Amino acid sequence: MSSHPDLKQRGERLHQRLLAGSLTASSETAELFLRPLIKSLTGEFKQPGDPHLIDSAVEDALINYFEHPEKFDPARSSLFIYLRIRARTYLLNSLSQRGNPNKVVELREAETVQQVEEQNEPDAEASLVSRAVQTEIMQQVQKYITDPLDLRIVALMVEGVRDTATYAEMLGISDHPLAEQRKTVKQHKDRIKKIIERKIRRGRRKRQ
Amino acid sequence: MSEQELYAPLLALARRLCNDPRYMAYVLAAYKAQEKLTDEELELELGMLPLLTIRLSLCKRPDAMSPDFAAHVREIADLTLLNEEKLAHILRQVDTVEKLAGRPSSLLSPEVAASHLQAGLLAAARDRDEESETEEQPEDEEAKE
Repeated sequence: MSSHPDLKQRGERLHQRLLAGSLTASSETAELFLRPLIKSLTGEFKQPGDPHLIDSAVEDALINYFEHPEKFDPARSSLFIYLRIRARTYLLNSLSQRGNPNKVVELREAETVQQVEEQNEPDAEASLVSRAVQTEIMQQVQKYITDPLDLRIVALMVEGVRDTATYAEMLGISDHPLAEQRKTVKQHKDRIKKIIERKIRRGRRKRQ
Repeated sequence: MSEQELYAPLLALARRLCNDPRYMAYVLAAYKAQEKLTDEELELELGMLPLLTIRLSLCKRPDAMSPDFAAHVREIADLTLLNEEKLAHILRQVDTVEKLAGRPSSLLSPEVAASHLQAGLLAAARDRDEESETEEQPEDEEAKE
């Protein structure tokens, strides 16, 4: 299985943002890695007994990482591999404790096998799986927004693009003063949010 | 990939974070309890897409006392297509009630908070298909500002 650079680079960017105090990085990281991690471990542990053990182990790995991102060293492995090692260790501990309460796998020990894990780098399919949430969000948005320019703006927003310049270029106002660009971009974003909110509310009220 | 496969793992993680005051999952559950909102009423108030409600739950909670509060709220609001003012209001309210109570706003036990959020998000996810059947065809966008 060959490593997929897209997933690796996105993981590194999210890691830097988490370290820098981004409040959305945890959510974006979960969307990116949760399903590929579960899929990867399910491939290795085909019958773990309790089917929720793998899910719980991956959740533990992510929650632990969100609280201690500094423990991950990007020089040693990709974020996917790091999270997989953690999740695998939690899973092995759960399995061991069920069979033998005294057998616990040390996390530090597990991390020394990092190189072995390189073979489990996510592939292109995992990258597609990680984008499934994004795709689904855009499909839902298209029920409420039809204007092509608005849809492109929404796509940037839900991808977490923050810089005004990207939006300004899309809106054709790159040559305007920065303060004006910011104001116009915000107006567009707010208008789009209002349309979606109003239409969702209208849809829900109809059903009540 | 089925809808269940897509939603379920993220929803399970959000449910776990309902117990942790550092996450938005906790804030939403606390707000719902404070306002005595049903799942449907909370959905109506937020006017959010189901997946984006889960995305919001998995974000970390902005500190209402931080000088970066507005920027943090904007960042989360943009990523979840949520109205900034609404998000700021919810955060401030939950924060105020916590401070008045002198503790994290657990008007509800962690188990109850978790079950509230789970029920709400599952209902939102279920609604998705219904919406596509009952919602009118996309209208032309409202007049641009």
